[in-house]
Amino acid sequence: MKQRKRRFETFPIYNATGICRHLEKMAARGWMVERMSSLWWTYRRIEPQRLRFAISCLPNLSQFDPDNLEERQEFLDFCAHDGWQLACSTAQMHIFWNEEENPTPLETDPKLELQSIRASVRKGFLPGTGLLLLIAVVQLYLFASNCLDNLVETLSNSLQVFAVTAFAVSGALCVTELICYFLWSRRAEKMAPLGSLPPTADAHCLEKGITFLLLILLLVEVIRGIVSGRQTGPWILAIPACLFLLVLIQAMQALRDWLRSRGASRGANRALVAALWITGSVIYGVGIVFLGPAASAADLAIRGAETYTVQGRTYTAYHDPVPLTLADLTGEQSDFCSTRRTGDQTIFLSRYIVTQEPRQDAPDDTKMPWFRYEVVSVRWPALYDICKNDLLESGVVLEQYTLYSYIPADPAPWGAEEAYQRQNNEGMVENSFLLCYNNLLVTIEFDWAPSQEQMAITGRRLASAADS
Amino acid sequence: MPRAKYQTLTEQMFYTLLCLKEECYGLDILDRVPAMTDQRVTIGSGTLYTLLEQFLSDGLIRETKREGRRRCYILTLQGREALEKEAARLEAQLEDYHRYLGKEEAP
Repeated sequence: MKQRKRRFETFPIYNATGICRHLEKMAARGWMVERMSSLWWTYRRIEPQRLRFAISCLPNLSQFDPDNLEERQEFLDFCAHDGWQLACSTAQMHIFWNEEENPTPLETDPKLELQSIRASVRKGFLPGTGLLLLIAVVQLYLFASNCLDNLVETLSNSLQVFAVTAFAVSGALCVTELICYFLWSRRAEKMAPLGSLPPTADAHCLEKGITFLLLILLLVEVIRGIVSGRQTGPWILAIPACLFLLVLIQAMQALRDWLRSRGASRGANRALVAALWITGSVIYGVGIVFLGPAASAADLAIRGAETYTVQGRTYTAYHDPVPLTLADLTGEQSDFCSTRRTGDQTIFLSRYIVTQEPRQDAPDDTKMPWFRYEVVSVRWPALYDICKNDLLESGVVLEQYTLYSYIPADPAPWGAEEAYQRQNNEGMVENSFLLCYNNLLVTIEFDWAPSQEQMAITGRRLASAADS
Repeated sequence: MPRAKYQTLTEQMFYTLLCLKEECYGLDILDRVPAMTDQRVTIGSGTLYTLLEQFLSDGLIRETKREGRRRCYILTLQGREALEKEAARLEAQLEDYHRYLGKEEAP
């Protein structure tokens, strides 16, 4: 039978009511909390029993103070005198249990209790939540800024969309937590002189549910990214990076607790944990530098790409499956061709880019054309026109002092609803088009002027292979 | 001593200080206060610890000795003043009560 278990808990320090109620339920089911970390709480098996739980905050204590600190031991003796046994503690918060039906409460002066809670909250909860909120706001700002610069690319990047979703939800949770705390604190201020503190609003189940939902979404994104083979590289890098950070956080907490149990001073404990954090960060940075090429290599291996060298330089030849090839248009097959497909998808957009071009080691006498196309499948109809405008405006770029723009073209040969052709600021039209289908946006660039027949093939192939 | 903080002492502050008119271990206060008040006043262990820390840092009591994890405290002059001031306030309050309620009840 399992003697220990870990549970993900999201209680803030001021939510004494919620924590005690939860721990009383756990004790009735036969589980006693014995350790709290930032990631999960550990419970050990006990005989199911009815216990009372209470929390006391000691704002002057630090999470780096030794367990045998005399002041802390004196406090524990006081509590033991009334039958309160320490279950576990973290930083300023101490959780006690008592077998008596009606024990003397740990805190009998609500004003003092409120003072202690507020001081503890100022030390840990407020700066932590504030920092997370700040990071979330910065991330949202960066995402919004990326959307303004390149909407289609940003909205189709699964890593970015997932990250911004996670930060938006975290930010919303931070705001909820802060509002709950300040409302409770105000009510507590009014009620404390009357002899009691109000119960805390409990958003714990909601927070836990949202966090699990995010983790499931992350898992789905990872599996989808790997199975589809579209964005393997970044995810190959992101997974070990996240795991390393989790292990590092756990290692820091384990080191801190070990030093506490060995009686190390607050300063020594802080210094050693900081040293571990710095070492871990350096290893993390070095790991990213080395894992980057390894992730690219794994990505290439999964895609069946090969490398070759010409005049001392290494190139990669891709053989990705694509819905439209040069051979489909010209009827000529070539062994000296690299076909590369990149892309990604999110709940908003699916986007892939195909480039087919001659390899660098193609014989000089081989005259081979190239082309490049980008297919964007818009999953939310409301986004269609916005994405279309983004692509139309992305044609207006300054490339070597030449300004480009799109002008309307005949959509009929492409079988499209709308078509646009790129021209430079001297009025010269180019073989570069933007085509609009039902929920599709296609930009395609040829190094030759496509015939009517080639336009029809292009339209048929790309419109029918939207998400492939 | 922060004046506003101790202008009015709560019952728990009052009896904690009263216990410390003579040298006393912190732990003993938990038993003495209910005994002194015929179980009318009890002090929670968390509350007592916080009170002692506050009194120490505000100079109302001082630590006299330390035996392992047990600390002994005694009232300082400032603490005695605070206690006397509170006692005077309570006496004045009681006098007011007797003066006004006593008048009403007189035949």
